Order: sequence, then structure tokens, then C-alpha cells
Amino acid sequence: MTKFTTYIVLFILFVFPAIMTSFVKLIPNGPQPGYDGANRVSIYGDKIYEQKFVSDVDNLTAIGASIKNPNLKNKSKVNFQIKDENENILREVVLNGFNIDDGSYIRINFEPIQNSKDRSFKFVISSINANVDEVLELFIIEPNSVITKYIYNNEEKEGGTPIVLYSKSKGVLNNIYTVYSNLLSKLLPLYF
Amino acid sequence: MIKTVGIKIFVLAIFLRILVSMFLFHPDIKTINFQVSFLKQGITNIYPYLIENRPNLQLKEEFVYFPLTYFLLGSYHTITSTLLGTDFDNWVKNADSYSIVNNSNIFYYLLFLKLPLLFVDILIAYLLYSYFKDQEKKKEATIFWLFNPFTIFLIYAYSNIDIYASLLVFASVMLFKNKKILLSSLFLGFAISFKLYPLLFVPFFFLSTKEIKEKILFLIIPILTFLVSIALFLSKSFVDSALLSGLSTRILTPNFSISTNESVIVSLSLISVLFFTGLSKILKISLLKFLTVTLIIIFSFTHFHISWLLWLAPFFIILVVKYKDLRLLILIWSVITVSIPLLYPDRSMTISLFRTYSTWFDLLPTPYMLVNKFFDINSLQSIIRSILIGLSFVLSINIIKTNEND
Repeated sequence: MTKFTTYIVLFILFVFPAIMTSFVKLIPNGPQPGYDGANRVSIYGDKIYEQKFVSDVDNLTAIGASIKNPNLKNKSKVNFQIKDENENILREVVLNGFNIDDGSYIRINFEPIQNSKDRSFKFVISSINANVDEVLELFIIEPNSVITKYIYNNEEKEGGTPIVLYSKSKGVLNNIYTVYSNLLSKLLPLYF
Repeated sequence: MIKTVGIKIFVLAIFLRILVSMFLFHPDIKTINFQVSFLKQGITNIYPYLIENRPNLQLKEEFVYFPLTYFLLGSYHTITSTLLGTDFDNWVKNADSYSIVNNSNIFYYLLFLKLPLLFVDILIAYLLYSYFKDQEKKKEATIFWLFNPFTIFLIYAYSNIDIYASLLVFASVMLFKNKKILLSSLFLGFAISFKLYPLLFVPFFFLSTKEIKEKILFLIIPILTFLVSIALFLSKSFVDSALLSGLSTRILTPNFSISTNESVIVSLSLISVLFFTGLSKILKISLLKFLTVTLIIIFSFTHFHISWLLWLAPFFIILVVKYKDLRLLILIWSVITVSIPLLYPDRSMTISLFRTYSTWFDLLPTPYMLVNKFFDINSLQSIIRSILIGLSFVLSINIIKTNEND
């Protein structure tokens, strides 16, 4: 029993996290920035939202944002595009408002964009078929190192919606190395 | 005790506990420590304070535990805070779920915060050791407690403060066994002052005493002790936050309606069967068995928190040492019962415990989400629960029919 429990505890503490790490396919650039629920913009019809941002991750493969769908009325197509600085469409994803809860955090996945680190991009969200009663809403915050400016109603302003950028994982071994180095770096203060 | 199990084995047991304490993080420990930190500032009645100051507080939760928990943990927090300094105080106050786990001192903080659990855990091991007279059984009980993966994780991963009530209940049973009735009833009262569940044990202590004087003691002392401990705090905020909180009253669910206003509480009905069969002398079993079966009934019919399983652990250790035939059933029962809360849609039960390793795990699905992809989780939980109820019935019968003289 002594040996069995010792192995179980050591397995759960030191092997199980490695197994979990091997299932991590996306790496977030950090937590979602906080936002004030009162400051929002509505997306419907020709009210299109454009967000300029600088990617702080390589192999950008997903963007997460909080989107409101008041009373879950929007059941229309939601178009999401990523453009480069020259307005070339790099990726395009079509969502359905039916799958967007009111205020839920949505992660939009797409094929990785290579060499994305430190490059400027723009994403565009529109819901052309939605009318004024079927709006989607995005929260707006002050600019930070990632989000710079947004364009709404043909007007460019500082800041934008709080997003999380995800990069494609660099492989299982790399992930395990990162997780356990992080663990060790927290353990070291105990010994010095 | 240490001599009986061997110093190396004892050190290994402590080492494993320290590892689990440091690496696994359940957010409750921080929330509770934030709340009890107000004792250092001179706040003695925490219930209205948290409600009145909610808009200005970093963590908005109410304090759901009883005053004795506040004073005990608050006193320890005062010492910890003095030793660890303002960085620790800031960490406790911090509401940002990312920077909390990325704090470079988190392992150090978690270890300090969980040290009282270690102390109480070893006390329970000592009580289990003292329960038996036979040297072999003493050793077996201590090893079963110290090297039981269930209790190690229940206590240290979930920062289980129910351990205080568990210790006091078990101490009360030990004192009862040693015929120290007044002290036993007093300890039961202290246990109720930490957690409400031992209140259900009062009828069985009453039943297990022989003399009228002793019966009266068990009717008065535990409840009086509890009332004294809460008397100064009785207010709407205390009643809403702690006394009648969802956590305290969940034990009385589920129920089924028999009219518009009336319902039958399943677990209470079965506990009442247990009590009245004992009262009418149909059932003659020890106090320990009465309490064990009562808890088995509660776990069978309640949406329980994983921490609650600790209530049963010391009793189960005694039963598996005394009655080898019960071992397999108790093991299966424990595995099934632990699996139920692990399938709750609550990240902090499973994946989030490992957030000190990496916040990347936030992206991984919980067992609840994972199972739900292939099978309706509610159906699975219903199946597990139904199996548990059947097993509980068989286990209870087996516990009852074991020979008291073994």
C-alpha cells in the first residue's frame, strides 16, 4: 500500500501534467484583458467592426473574444476575416449567430498564419443579414500592446475589443519542456 | 505511533502530503484566507462585514462557514501573514486568476496555508492508532490512513477544511468509546460548531448511551455548545450566508413532493428508519456503525461536495481494519463516490487543480465536457448514482451484520 500510494501521488503530480500538456494544441498569449460591460459597439447590416492589432505570437491560429448576442436573437451568418496591412484577406471563417451565446467567450480558429509575430493585422467582423433587432455586440477597451485601433461607422478610434491570440503549439516535447521549466522556476525561490 | 509504523514510512507520508499541498491548488483556500484575513484587522463579525463592503472587496463571496472556523483560520492567517509579509497579503487579496497562479511564491504560500491540515491529519492518524489495542491493527490503521490516496488528495488537493469537523467527530466517538461522555458530547458540539452535519449524529449518540443522564447530556450539550458558538453572530447575514446556505441545507435534498407544499426528504427518511430500528431494539449496532451508515445514506442521496467524503474516511479505516470482508466493498464504494464529483461541470474539481503548472490547461476540457462529447453526461451520472445507491444498500447491510466482537 505504501509503494502503491507513493507511485500514485508521484504519477499524478509529475506524470499526469505531462500527459495533459500533450493535449494542448493552442497556446494563448495571456489572459483576456478586463473590460467594462457598458462600452460596446453593435454589429449588424452595414455596421461592420474592424480591429487593427499587432500579433505577439507566431503561427497565429485563433482569436478569442467576448461577443454579446442579446436575447440570442442573432441567428444569421457572421463573417470573420483576417487581413494583412495591404488589405489582403489571409483567412476567412463563417460563424452562425445561432452558436453565439449572450456574452460568451468565442474562439475563432483558422489555419495558422506563419511568421505572424510582430506583424500588423486587421480582423473584420460583420453580420450583413442581421437587422437592428439582431445585433451582436463587442466590448471596447483602451489600446494595449496587441490591440491598437478599431474602425466602426467609418470612424477610426484608439483601442478595441479585448482579445486573446492563440499560436499553434510547437509540439508535445516543447510544451512539456515549457510547463516543467515554469514549474521549476517557481520552485527555485524556495531554495535560494 | 511513529515507532510502530517506522520513521522512514512516517517521513515518506509527510513528504507526499507536502508535495500535494504545494503543487495542487483549489481556489477555495485563497477565498477563505481572504475572508478570514479580516480578523487581523479586528473584524470579529465577518458575515455583515462582507455583505456591507462587497462593492469594495476584491473577492465578493460570502463567508459560508461558522464563527469557530473564522476564528481558527483567522488566527492562523494572522501568524502566516506576519511571517510571509505584504507580498503574501497581496496574493491573498488578488482576484486575478492568472497572476495568482503565476506568482513565483505560490508553492511556498500553498504549503504554509495547508500546514494546519497536516497537523490535524496527523492527529486523526494518532486517534486511529489509539483506537486499537492490538499492535498489528494499530499499525494497519495508521498505514491505511497515512497512505490512502483518497484522503491525501481529499485533504490537500481540495484544501479541505472539513477536516476540523472530521477530527472533532472522531475524537467524540473515541471519547464515547472510552466512556468519557461529557467530553464526548462537548466535542460533538464543537464539531457541529464547525460544520452542521454532525447534528445528524446526535440521535445516534443518544441511542448508544445507556443511562438517562447520559442521554440528556447528548441532547443538551452538543446543541447548547453550537448555540453558544453562534449566539453572538445571529443575524440575517449569518443565517443567509452560513446557517441556511446552500452548502448547509444541501444535505436535506433531494426530496420529492407529496403535495403542493409538502415533500419527503429521502435521506432523512432513511436515517429516521435507522434511528427508530435502533430505538425499538430491532437493530443493535455500535455507535460507529450507526454513524457510518448515516453518512453512507447521505452520500447516496445528496449532491455532495467532494470535501464531504472526508467525513467518512476515519470510520471506513476502522471498519477495513476490523473487518477484512468489507474491504472490497468499501474500496468500490469509495471509487464510485469519488468519481461522482469529478464529473461535475466544475473545473476546480479536476483540471484547474493543476493551474500552478500552467494556465494552458484552461484550454483542456474537463471530464464533464469530455464525456459529454460521447455520451449524455446526465445519463451517466444517473447510472453511477443508481449503482451507488444499490451498493450503499449492500454495504450498509454488510456493515450492520458484522460481528461486534470481532
